[in-house]
Order: sequence, then structure tokens, then C-alpha cells
Amino acid sequence: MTTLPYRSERLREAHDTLHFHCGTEGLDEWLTASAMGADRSDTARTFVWSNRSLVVAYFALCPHVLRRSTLPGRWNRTGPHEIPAILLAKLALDGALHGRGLGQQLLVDALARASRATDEVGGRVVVVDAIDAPAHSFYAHFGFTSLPEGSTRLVMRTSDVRASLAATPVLGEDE
Amino acid sequence: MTLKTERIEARVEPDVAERIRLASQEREMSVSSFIVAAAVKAAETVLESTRHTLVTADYFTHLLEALDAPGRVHARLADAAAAVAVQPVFVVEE
Repeated sequence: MTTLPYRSERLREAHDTLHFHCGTEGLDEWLTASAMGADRSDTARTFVWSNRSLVVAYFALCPHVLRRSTLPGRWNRTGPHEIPAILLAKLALDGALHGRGLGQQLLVDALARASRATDEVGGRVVVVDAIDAPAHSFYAHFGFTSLPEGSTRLVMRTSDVRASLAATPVLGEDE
Repeated sequence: MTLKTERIEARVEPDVAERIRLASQEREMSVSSFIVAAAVKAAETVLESTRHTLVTADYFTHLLEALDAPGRVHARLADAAAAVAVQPVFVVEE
């Protein structure tokens, strides 16, 4: 895993996912067992960092909405009920790369791709799914805010993502 | 009618199997049908959660009102993006 830089690209059948171990079994299993199926069914796109074909990191993006709960009452009768969003459903780095500050680069890659997707099809909020407390802290560190009532999810306005990435001339403005 | 061509097997502890057997009898279902129905319901819940996030009306209204304000820079995210610009460890392939 010494060849840099890694290729950031959409997951393909040819990628070696079997040797990916991030330390969280569920994330390893999802990559090997479900990611290509989600891609084929157009429910989520998975992007990987690869060294030749070996996957060393990945994240998954999918269309999403924030939906207002439908409790009875006047609040449900007017105004929008959904906010279009994009979900960063998975984000994981191989254990061999932990401790090098690469998680933040992976997050930037994921948010740049999310930003470009919303440029094309819209989406006002980026939602992230934090699998555990450290992941929650990771996203909060970069400005995501927690949803109320103990949700595992956090949000950031797409406009904030664009503004933050635009602070550098390289990512987010490569069209 | 879709053909049932896929087979899923699972190993469970004896007491778990017994509880599933008792519950399936309670519902007057075969063990197999009971397990599949429960698993499909759980799978749909998981898949649905990837499609939407349900939030309270108060939070929804708060967020909706905040959406039109200009985007603001989150310093740590901007710093991370700057680190990518200076010393990238990945190249984007479209």
C-alpha cells in the first residue's frame, strides 16, 4: 500500500474488496457483499481508493430526503414535507491506513463528489450516517450538526459544503 | 408468480431455534415462512432508512428556514480540503 496517489474511482467487479479490513465488520461485509448489488440496482454508488485493484478505502453515496414527521395537526397541512438531500451512507479506510490523517482526505473526496452530484440533480443537504460515537465525533469535527432525538445521522447544508471546498482551488471546481 | 430459486441457510443456537419454532406456531406459519417474513420486514426497514431521514416538524421547519442563507465555510473542512490541494493522496477518476 505504498503507491501513491490512490485512484479514486467507482467500484467495479474487478476491484479486490476481500482484503479490505477497516476494523468494523459491518462495513467490511457491506463492501464485499452488498456494494456491487447496490450499484447494479442504482440504489447507491460506491467509490473506492485503489492501489492497482486493491481497495484501501471506500464511501457510498445515494439519493436521500429529509422528511417531516407526519404527526396530526396544522403543521402537516402546508409547506414542503421533504428536503432533497444526498446521503453519505458509508465511509471507511483500511486499518493499515489509520492514524495518518487520511480520513479527512477521504471525507473531502466524498463531499466533492456529493457536491458535484447536487450540481447536476439538486440536493440541499448532505446527510451522513455515523456508525458509532467516534464516527459521530469525526463528522462533528468537520462541521456537521447532529439531528435531534438521538439520531445517528448528522447534516450539513450543501451550500456550506460548496463554500468550504471552494476555499481551495483544486476540489469542487474542476469542471 | 416469482420462482423461489434462492436458498439462505443460517446456523443458530438450539434455544434460539426453539423460540423461533414457538413463535412461528403462534402465528400459524411454517418456520421457514416465519423467518423469511421477519427478515423481509427487517430488510425493508433498513432499506427505507437509506431513502429518507424522518425528523420532527420543529426541526424540519428550523432547517428549512436556514437553507436560504448563504453558504458558510467550516474552517476544519476547508483546512482538510486545503490539505488535499497541497498533498493529495488520491487522484479522481471520473
